[in-house]
Amino acid sequence: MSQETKYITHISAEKHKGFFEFLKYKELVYFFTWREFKVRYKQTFFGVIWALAQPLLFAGIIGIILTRRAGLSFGFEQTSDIVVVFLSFSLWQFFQGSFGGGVNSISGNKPLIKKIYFPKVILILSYISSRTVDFLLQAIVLLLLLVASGSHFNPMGFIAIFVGLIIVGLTALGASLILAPLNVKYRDVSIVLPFLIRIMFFTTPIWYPFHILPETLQKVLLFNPIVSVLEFSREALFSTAPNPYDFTLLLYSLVSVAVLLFIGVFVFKSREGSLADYM
Amino acid sequence: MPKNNEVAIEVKNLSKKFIVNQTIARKDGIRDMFKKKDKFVGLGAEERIVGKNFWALRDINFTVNKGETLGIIGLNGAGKTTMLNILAQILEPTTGSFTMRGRVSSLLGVGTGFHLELSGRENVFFNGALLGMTRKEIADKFDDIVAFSELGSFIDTPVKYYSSGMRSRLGFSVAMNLDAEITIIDEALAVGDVSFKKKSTEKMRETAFTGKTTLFVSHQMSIVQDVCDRVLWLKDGRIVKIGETQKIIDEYIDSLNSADTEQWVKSRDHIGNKDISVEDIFLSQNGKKIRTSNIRRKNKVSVGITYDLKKVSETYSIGFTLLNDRGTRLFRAAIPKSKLKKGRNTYFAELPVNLLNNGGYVIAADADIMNQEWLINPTSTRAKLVFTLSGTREDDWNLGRDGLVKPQLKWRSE
Repeated sequence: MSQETKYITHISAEKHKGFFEFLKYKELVYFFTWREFKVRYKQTFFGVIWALAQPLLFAGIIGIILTRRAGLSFGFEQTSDIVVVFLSFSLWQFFQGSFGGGVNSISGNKPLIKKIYFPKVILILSYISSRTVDFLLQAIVLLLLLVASGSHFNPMGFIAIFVGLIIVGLTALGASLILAPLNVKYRDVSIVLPFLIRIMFFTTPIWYPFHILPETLQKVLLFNPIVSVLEFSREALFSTAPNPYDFTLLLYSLVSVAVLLFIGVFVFKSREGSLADYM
Repeated sequence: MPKNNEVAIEVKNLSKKFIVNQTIARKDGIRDMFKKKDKFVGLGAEERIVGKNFWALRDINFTVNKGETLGIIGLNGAGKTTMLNILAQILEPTTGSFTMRGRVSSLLGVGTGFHLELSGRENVFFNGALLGMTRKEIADKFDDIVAFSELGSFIDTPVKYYSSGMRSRLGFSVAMNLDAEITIIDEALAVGDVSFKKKSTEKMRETAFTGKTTLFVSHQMSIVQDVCDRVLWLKDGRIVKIGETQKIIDEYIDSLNSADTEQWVKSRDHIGNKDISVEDIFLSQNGKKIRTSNIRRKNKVSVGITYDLKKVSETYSIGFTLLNDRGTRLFRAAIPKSKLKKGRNTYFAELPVNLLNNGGYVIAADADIMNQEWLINPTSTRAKLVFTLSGTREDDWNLGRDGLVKPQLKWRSE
């Protein structure tokens, strides 16, 4: 009997399904993530090494060219700029992959959505979680780099890194929730997206220290949860100050990511049902 | 059957509206200034996009009892697919609601979601999860799935190296092996080569027969007749009738004929060319026109075609073409030259019912010059009629058999 009552579907035009319906589809989240990850490195010679090579190359080049110039160094006394850029770029890459994938995830899976029902948010989540796997690998390399170069770091700072990971992930989720359904109806979104990502790349202090920016600009940029949480986790990990945890920064990012998610869930909820109509 | 009367599917006041964007030339635009000079029509013609409401489904109400198979029939565009898509939760209803009791498996998504880079095995797990199976369930069914798909050792090859037939076989096998209380089937989805098509159709029938609740959409009346307990007939998004299979199918087919003929009779001068025109086409039995188009094999049936010939030429070949409901031409029949007469005449030919298989057929008027040029093209002419042929319960001809035709052969043993 319990078996029978388990699967009662009641759909009415007035009452929509809740946003958190996807929690019932844990298995599917796992499979999508697994597929995303597997497919990304399938038929590549170096496989998952690519997840590491990109931030390593970027960090090496930026570290040597830019930060060695006076004034552009991040200024952590006992940590090489290369390591700092490696962390920054890894977090950025996590965002870029999740966000870029997330926004196109729904319009890019048209055949699936037109044929099979499942909560669409799973598509966005799977991009974020598959990129998380990449980031976790990068975090291990980060630890190795720190130990190998004999740099100073606060072990507790790694917790801050994971807080950063979660906030960046939620930022990607919130932004994708807004743009992914719009992307189905208005293809303008996919045209603007690369441009948007590039602007964000330059306004995020990945390869330059935040303090070189004018103060007014700094104040504005802190509302970008990625900027504030990046500053927070870098300080937390590398700073030699007695109390490296600047919770005001964390608060900034938490508040803005909460607002973003709230809008995201609202937009997504109101459009999810009609997605298949526009495909 | 007290327990069987539990309701598995309940649909209430279901409607679905689509907004169809149309580009319409503005009537009050600059274009009107050039009204008298038609060659300037394109100049300054302002266009606007108008969202036009289109109701694909309107006030649909029905229930399906547990274990029952409900067939859904109707012409293309009647709303069958929209209805299945709503019940499979792919589309949301505009108004109304529905309730399904039991796990739903839809065969609408066969083979979708396969990733080309992944192996067949990996895709089975992914596709299974997509259809709502747990990892354990898939693992338990895995051998059955592979066996049914006939893929053998190819199961570990990336799907991109599969032929399209192999792909759809695998997709179908996954979907068919899902244990669900409610199955949604679009019969047009039987896939693969002839032998696999047969196998999948068999499996669909089996599903429908084994006491599972099934929604079955098909254009093949013979299968609907075999499989369904009740039939729902859709037309222009509304339910015309719902009820006992045989009765609804008969009425449906009759309506096709009369609708077709009605439209055709009004404009029959246009059929054919100036030398030849078709006035009527009908079935007849014992010298009388018959109204029902569901023909039992035990009766002799003739086709009657009324041609009006202004001219009789040696080069003309005039008659009819018999097609099955899949559009396959079974044969062309020509009236012998000696029998062709000038003027308005009706020509009769007995149908070889003992040669034909069970199923739906179309008879279309057909005329050409020396096999070179159509006078009346049977695939595009409106001068045609539709009928279904079925066996009788008494003889062993009841069921259809595989193959295009089902001749009654004379057997002897020595």
